Amino acid sequence: MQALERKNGIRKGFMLLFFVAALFWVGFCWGTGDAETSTETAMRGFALILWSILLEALPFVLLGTILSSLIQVYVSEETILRILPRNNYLRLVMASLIGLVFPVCECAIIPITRGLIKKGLPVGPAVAFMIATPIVNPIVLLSTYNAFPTMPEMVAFRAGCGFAGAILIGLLAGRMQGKAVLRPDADAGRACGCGQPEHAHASCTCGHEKHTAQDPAEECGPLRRVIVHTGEELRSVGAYLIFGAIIAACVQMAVPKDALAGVGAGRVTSILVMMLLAFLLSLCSEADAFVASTFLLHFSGASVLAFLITGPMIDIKNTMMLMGSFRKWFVLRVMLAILLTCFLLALAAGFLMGSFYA
Amino acid sequence: MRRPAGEALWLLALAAFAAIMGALLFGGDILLYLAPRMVPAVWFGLAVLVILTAHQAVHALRVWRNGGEDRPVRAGTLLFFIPVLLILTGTPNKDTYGTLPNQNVKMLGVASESTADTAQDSAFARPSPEPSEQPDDPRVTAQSVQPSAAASSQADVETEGKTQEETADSVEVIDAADALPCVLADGEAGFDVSADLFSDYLYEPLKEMEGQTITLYGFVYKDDSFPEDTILISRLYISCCAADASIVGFHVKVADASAFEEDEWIRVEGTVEAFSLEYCGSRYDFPILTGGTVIRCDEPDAQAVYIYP
Repeated sequence: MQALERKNGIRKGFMLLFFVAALFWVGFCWGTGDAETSTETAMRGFALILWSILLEALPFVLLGTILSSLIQVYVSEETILRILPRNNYLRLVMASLIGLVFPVCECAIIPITRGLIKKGLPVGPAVAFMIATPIVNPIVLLSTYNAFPTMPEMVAFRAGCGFAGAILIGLLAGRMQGKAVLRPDADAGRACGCGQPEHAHASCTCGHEKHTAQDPAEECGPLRRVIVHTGEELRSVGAYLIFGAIIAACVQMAVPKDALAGVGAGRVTSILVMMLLAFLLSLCSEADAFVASTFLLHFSGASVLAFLITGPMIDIKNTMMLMGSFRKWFVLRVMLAILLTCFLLALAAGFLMGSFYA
Repeated sequence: MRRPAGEALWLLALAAFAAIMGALLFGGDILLYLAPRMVPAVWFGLAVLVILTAHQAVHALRVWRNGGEDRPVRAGTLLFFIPVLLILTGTPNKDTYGTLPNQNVKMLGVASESTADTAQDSAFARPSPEPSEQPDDPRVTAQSVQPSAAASSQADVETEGKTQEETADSVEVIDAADALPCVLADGEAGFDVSADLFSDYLYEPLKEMEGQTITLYGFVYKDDSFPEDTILISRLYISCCAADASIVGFHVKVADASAFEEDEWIRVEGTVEAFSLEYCGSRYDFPILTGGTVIRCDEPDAQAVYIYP
């Protein structure tokens, strides 16, 4: 059985490698069809973008996995339910506001959200927390202020839309609570670190379904459980992060932004184009404002705002990470809710902005 | 005794990532990828990876010795080796910046890439505080805020955005026998802004810069939307990582822009004036270097500048 699983894994691995290689070559040929650009040069450029995304994201993913592991090991379900308000709407508001004092970006937030849901946090507030935090946290708002020094209102619009969007999407996600939203294999830690064969994992209290120790108190101390969990979370989320980063790097190499700018004519289509761009570029929410500010002359303020609120909520990189943690049907519905909400919020904000300078 | 392939593979992936992060941090090449402010986070990541690698090494050894359950070889684990192989086969260097496609351009507060109809509706496309009359042609016209310089500058430029008839305000190209270094010694040029201009001074109000003689270095960026007598002396600026790199530039008035190659490094000394850009129905003020000298120079080791060093 295990041999079969191993063979399947290797086969999938080769298929993935082939897919990534093909993607890279397509991107290379399409994006740098310049005869002077050698394959080696393109490879270096691709490696630079890929590694810069990974080096930027990985520490925060690790931070998220550590926090998630600490929650798993040290925080009980009762504690979480005790500190939450009983009213569902108040829960959503509180979950969205936590982001104001929780300076983590979208890479770190997914493992933390997964950990909170596993500990019994309702799906609605968990999703609101996941959506709001990468936008309304103080570092992101400060970077937005610095990127738009002559228009501080952009900070207010970004924070306001992030907050409102998180509550709306949290409300929608709360309605999907009937079924389990986490992927079953997201819970599966295979080893507690003790190296003993034939473990019975149920009593390890670490939250995993499969791993066990003959004597959990001896074999799985709290610190060790945190390390084991962190490693397992990294193995799961990290793979999706890398996959997303590879696609994002391919897109950055291949898809010309000015071509998209040409498409983005019109009040509505410009919003859609900038949302697509935010999804494809997969920039960190702490850096995206600087890139967004360079689009101001070609795109309306509303569409730049759409870029600023869509990217932290959903992009290639965190879609892959969500796929690794949540069931596909849930991810697809949340994505749809995010895209729809961002579009409507940007449209509404566009009307408000228009009144500023009319 | 069966070899725990899955455990060993995961150990190898962790060790490879830790080794690469360590090599980049200790070798200083991390700044090719990230802005300095992000480096402490990478140190933290490295510390965590080292702990995870050590723990995994002990665990794999125990599984191997005790014949414990091996983890399956998953496609996800193999994915970790793609970036590792990439960086081993094609290590990026400072020249790689020149090959990055699709970079946006920022011209001290406003951007330019191409015109789009939507910008006319832009709520955030702010006009300059005192917009003057707008010419029919949406091309660049030179105009100084200071009356003395403005008169000659404005008169020299045709409204169609063609080449200036008179090039008194252009910087003079000095052809040196050997390429000179771009980076000046401290104090050599009076007010050597160099990289600082593109980071700390990025949002310096234009009024405070006018009339000052400054020296800059950077690479040449040209755009179809520029007049034929204008180039952009540019640097690559990074706010977080190379994936969000954009070009930031300062206009330079030259006699003939075609005399400059795209991406060649130059050092310019000139006086800051202001000129207005009519763009999609609104007017924007830009600083421009005029009336000085320009030399071609060797590209410096540190090519990127950072918003928050």
